Amino acid sequence: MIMSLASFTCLATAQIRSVWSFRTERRVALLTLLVHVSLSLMVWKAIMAASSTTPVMSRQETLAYVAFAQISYFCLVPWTFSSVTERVRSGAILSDLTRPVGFLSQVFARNVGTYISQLPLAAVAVIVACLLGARLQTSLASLALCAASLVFSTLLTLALNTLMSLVSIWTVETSGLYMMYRTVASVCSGAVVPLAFFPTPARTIVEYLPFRSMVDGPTTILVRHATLHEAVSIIAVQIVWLLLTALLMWVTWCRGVRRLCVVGG
Amino acid sequence: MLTSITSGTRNHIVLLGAAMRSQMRYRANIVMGMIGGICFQATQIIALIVTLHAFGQLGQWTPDHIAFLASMRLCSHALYVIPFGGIIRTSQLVMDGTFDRLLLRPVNLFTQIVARHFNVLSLGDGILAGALMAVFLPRALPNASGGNYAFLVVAILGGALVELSIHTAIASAAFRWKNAFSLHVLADSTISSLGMYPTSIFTVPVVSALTFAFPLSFIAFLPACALLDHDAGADLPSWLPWASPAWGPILVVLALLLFHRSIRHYTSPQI
Repeated sequence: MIMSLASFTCLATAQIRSVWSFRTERRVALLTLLVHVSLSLMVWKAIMAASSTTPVMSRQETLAYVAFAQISYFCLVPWTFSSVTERVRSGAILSDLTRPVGFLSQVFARNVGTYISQLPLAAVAVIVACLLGARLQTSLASLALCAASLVFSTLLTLALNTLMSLVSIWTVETSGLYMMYRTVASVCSGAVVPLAFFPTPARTIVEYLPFRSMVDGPTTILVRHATLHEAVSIIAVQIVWLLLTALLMWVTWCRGVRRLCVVGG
Repeated sequence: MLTSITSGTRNHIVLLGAAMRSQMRYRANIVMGMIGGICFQATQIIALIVTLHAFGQLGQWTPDHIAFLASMRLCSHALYVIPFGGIIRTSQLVMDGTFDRLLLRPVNLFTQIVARHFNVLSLGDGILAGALMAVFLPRALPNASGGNYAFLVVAILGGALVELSIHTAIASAAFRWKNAFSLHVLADSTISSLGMYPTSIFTVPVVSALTFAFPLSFIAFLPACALLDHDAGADLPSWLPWASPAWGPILVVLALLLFHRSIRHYTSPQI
């Protein structure tokens, strides 16, 4: 069931209001993000100063990559990355199912709302990262291609997050599984260490996984000045993964809704 | 004094045992939690391995030495978080008023708080820490003497106590501010992010801050300097790495004094 733009906007706006109603939590989230980005930049500056090896990326590229990748990952994978788990556990999913909008569409709108509510914090973090030395010189063309890639990386990540959270229909306890997903996603997306630094066999494996399209794709276009051909191939891979994930999400939901069991009934 | 320590330890073991048994009833969760714990710490280890692969030696520190430092930090972390990990839930107990009930019981309040909950993720930390130490200890210290092993054990215990003291001091703030959970997260992420690397690669003000303002260096870096015969940097005295395990007990005593003094500021949310 495809929802109208008005319904989508209403649900996403409600989610943004809900997130921003906890002002102290927002302040703490900003502080945590700033500390995290600052510490990472400090570590990478120290590592590059202490090492005598010539790295595959320049100092400036590395610092910009690390900052941009961490800020992107913060926006894309929040601690509670989908409302599905909580709504299945509390039984609120029953009222969701009675609404005239499809459940997956509601979840998607809420996830977009959560993502948008992270953006003001990300903007502050970008300014702080620039002040701490993570500056980059880029062209308008790179910025435009990066923006296009960001759209698809956002859609793909929100779909992956929702797909993972649908597991809660089958099992009540999901914390261990979510932790595994977070770990694999953060490492394989380039949010922890730039993928260019991975050993060749590991990099080859990572290139065949969808996580690379989450963070490394747009970051590479922006920071490493990808050519038009490279940028288009990055975006094409993102679109393929997005379609596959959306299909898998739809199949999982169709199977899951038949065995949905709320508070024992 | 000795009697109170003995009875305190016994109470701690009894309460922690009860918390563990309650968690053990959810067997699938135990397995998933352990895997999750391993994955969480593995992120930092993978980052370290990839970084070392790309950059090789950092100053005097070879990849084996850095991996050994990371193993020491993780062992200390596991030794802190398995028996005392419940300390980070102090804010929750204060906010929802559960602390009122603890005040009525004839057991030390600190013991009740730390042994109230057993985090299954910590078992994963312990497994990963043991595995890493088994791999990297022989590589970093191929000719280790009995004295080296004894110092290593004392250093890991000292590191665990330093981490406990940091979280106990933060938990004390919960009695004044109600919610200090975010500070626990901040301290934890700082220790995880920086604790794997030799502190000496940072600038002198940062080294001083990570030694005297936030005692991260005492958890693993300074003892590792003593064992591996490395310079601690920032003009720190040469005896400090060897004396570093002693800071753990000192800091824990100070943190416990602060904790018990701070309880006076507790006000029940139910009044």
